[in-house]
Amino acid sequence: MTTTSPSEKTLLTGASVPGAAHAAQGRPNQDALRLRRYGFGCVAAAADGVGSQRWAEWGSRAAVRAVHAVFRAYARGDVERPQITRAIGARYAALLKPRFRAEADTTCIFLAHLYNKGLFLGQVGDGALCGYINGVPFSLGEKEDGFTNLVVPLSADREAPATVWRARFIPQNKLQSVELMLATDGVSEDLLPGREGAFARYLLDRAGACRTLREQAGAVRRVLEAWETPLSRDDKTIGLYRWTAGPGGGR
Amino acid sequence: MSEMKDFVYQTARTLPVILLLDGSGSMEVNNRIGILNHAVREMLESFRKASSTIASISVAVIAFGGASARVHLPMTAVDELDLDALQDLTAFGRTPMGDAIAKAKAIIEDKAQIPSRAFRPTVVLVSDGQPNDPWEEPLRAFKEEGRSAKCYRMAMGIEVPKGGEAYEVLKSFASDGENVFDGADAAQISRFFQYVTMSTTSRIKSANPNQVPSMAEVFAPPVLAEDGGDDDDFPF
Repeated sequence: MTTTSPSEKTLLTGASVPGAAHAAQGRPNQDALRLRRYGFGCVAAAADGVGSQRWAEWGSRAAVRAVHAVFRAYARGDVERPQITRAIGARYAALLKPRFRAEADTTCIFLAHLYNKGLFLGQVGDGALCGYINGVPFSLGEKEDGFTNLVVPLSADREAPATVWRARFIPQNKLQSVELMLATDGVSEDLLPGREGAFARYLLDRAGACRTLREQAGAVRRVLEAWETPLSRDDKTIGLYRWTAGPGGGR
Repeated sequence: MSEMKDFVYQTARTLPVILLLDGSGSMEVNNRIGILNHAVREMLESFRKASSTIASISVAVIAFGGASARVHLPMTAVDELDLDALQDLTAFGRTPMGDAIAKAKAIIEDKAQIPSRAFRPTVVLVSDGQPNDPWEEPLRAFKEEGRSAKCYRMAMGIEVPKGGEAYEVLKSFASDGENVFDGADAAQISRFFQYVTMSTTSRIKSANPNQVPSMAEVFAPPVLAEDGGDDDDFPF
């Protein structure tokens, strides 16, 4: 997974690998990851299709595309800020042909840093969005018991319950530094409690030590492919973002 | 990648299975207790074979007979289980099912026995009759409160007439929409435990072990691959 030209002050990278369970079943990776730098900022989105559903891998791809489309629209002024998550849901549903909508539910995690506005964070379903903001540990959601965490995913099925997003916005004038990791539950469920932020920083440092975008993504991919938790068979996806304010703030 | 041990678990997640087994005096009839013991051992043996190659299964057994229920086997990883040392259940006394349900809840709520990262536990109730102790409140608490509310529950009645009071107790225990399995004879009892085995092992092979397959899905014949289909079969 590569992005457009690198910046000394920002790092945007990540990788997604299929898990052993899907490989054994001959099924594709049901996670999706989309990272892009735009003129207005950076957007990162990760999603995990609901495995029991027939079009899970398409649902996750639709979700990450929808996140990027909506933030491009927001940057143009075509979407109002309070409508962002609703617009993501609508765009995700619109991307899927009608007869596929009932079986393409997905989780979705995003961060969007628009340099003239601020940092937008959102999550529906499980996984993790964590790290440090202004040097202070941050996590968008509380980790619950793995089996008690009722995951209400993003759904295009009209009969599904209403989507409940967790979301945060931090204005640009309140930001000095951002070090964040997006991870689907194939990663987050195996993280030691209290070590999530440190893991994000560890990966950011490893990727940041690489010279090229391809090497950065490769560093993340190697961690996922050599995952150390035994018998951890789910698809695994990580997106990473690091930004530091320059002298006088701004990009 | 030795630095990773500072960040990720070095042990596999477990899938807990809790058996609540009727050890009351009536289980001596038609050697029900013997058939049950045999079926449970076969299941544990199958779990042990699957657990070493695919994922980690842990099992607890609560027997209810006599004045109270007792933990016959505390929560134990099956690869650490000594099946030769495991004693068979014996049948005697009354049917303290309510106490068994309460003891199962205590195990499930204990994060030392079932850690937060465990997969959704399966709880299996097997009985041939009605409970003789207060069971409504323990069952309500089990189904509605705490971590136990999220468990998947199965029930089998051994020679329990459909529609009777004992059957209705089992039906109220089973997860929503689940039928009470009919253990009318040794073959049916064995088939039920095969279902428990196969649904557990299929869960640990899947990418989402919190999803429990139905009996129809577990015993369904293999599905042949579809042919090409039409060109419009593309979701975007």
